[in-house]
Amino acid sequence: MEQKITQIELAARMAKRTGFTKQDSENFVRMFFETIREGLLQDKLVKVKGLGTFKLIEVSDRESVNVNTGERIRIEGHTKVSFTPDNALRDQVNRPFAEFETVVLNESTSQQEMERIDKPLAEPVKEATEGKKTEVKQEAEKEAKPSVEKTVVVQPEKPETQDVKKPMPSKDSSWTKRFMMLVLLLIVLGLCYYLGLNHGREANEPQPAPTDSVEQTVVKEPTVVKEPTPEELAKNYPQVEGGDYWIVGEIGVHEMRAGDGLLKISRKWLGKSDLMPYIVVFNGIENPDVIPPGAKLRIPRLVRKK
Amino acid sequence: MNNKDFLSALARKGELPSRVVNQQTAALVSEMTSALEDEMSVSISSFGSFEVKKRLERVIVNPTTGQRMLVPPKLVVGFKPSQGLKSKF
Repeated sequence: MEQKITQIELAARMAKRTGFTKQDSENFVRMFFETIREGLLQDKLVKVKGLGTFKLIEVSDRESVNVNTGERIRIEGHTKVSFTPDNALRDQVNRPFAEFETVVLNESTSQQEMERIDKPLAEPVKEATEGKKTEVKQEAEKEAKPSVEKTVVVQPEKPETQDVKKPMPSKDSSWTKRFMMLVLLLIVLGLCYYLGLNHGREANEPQPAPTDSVEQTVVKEPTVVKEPTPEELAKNYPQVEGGDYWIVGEIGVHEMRAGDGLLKISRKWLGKSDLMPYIVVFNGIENPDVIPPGAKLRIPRLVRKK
Repeated sequence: MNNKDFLSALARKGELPSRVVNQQTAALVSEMTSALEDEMSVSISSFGSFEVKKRLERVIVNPTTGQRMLVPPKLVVGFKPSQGLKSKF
């Protein structure tokens, strides 16, 4: 969008196409848009084939807040000019992206996406702790056995392999050494993976996630799978009879403020206002219409029943 | 005011035969389209400017089924009325 063409340039292009003089074309362009304006004044709506529809829209007065001073201001009603491009123009302009279509995201894609999002969260934690551990290990080892052997292969990115190898007797032939190293490497990698998995889980758990409930269940499923099933967890909590979800835990606490309604809270925390009954049941609320401000509501974690 | 009314009003205003008006209008529209297609903005003084904007892709959720959908990115034409045009109404 660097370039800009004016009506004079537009008229020049037209003249080249039609064979009329530039002057005529310029006059025509001016008249064209003047006619649109007059038509708007007259009918409040002008349709031009191939270009689109111009419409006048009345905007009524509304109140707003001055963002700098915080004082209430009134925005006067005015008339807005709206433009909707013609289908032909819209498609023509969108041609570079025309082959894309709306895609339905199924469970598997969203899982992949979630993993992609989760990884950057889990990774740094894992690396940081891992790094510390190996340092500690190395130091301890150094103190205990100042110079047992010189390492055969230098692997700067994996200091663990060197540590663990140290207690190994150095008299072995190079082949057995290599074999042992390979085995050790595998063990260390396995350990890393296990630790990483644990850290990942720990990093995942305390996140308060007051977002979409659909995403919520999707994220939790892969991590929870090996632990008790939702049905087992659900036994510990009150359940909504005939509901689509199990209540399997708590994701957070909401403090009621003036103006908060259960529907609003449900929409905010669980993504849908019609999941409100789960909050009612989970908190054992007897009269959902009257909840005093300041009351603390626990928000249930929901897992869809299979 | 539909396209036909518009063209006849234009012909009356410019005292031009309708054939010329049709021809000129077609040229104007197709030149504007091709300019916008090249991502150039078209500005008409005392009327406003037309420009192409990119809408990024986004995920939408069908509130009743909870189904998530990815809406692809698209290029759309926007119109910004000039101050002169705004003050006329």
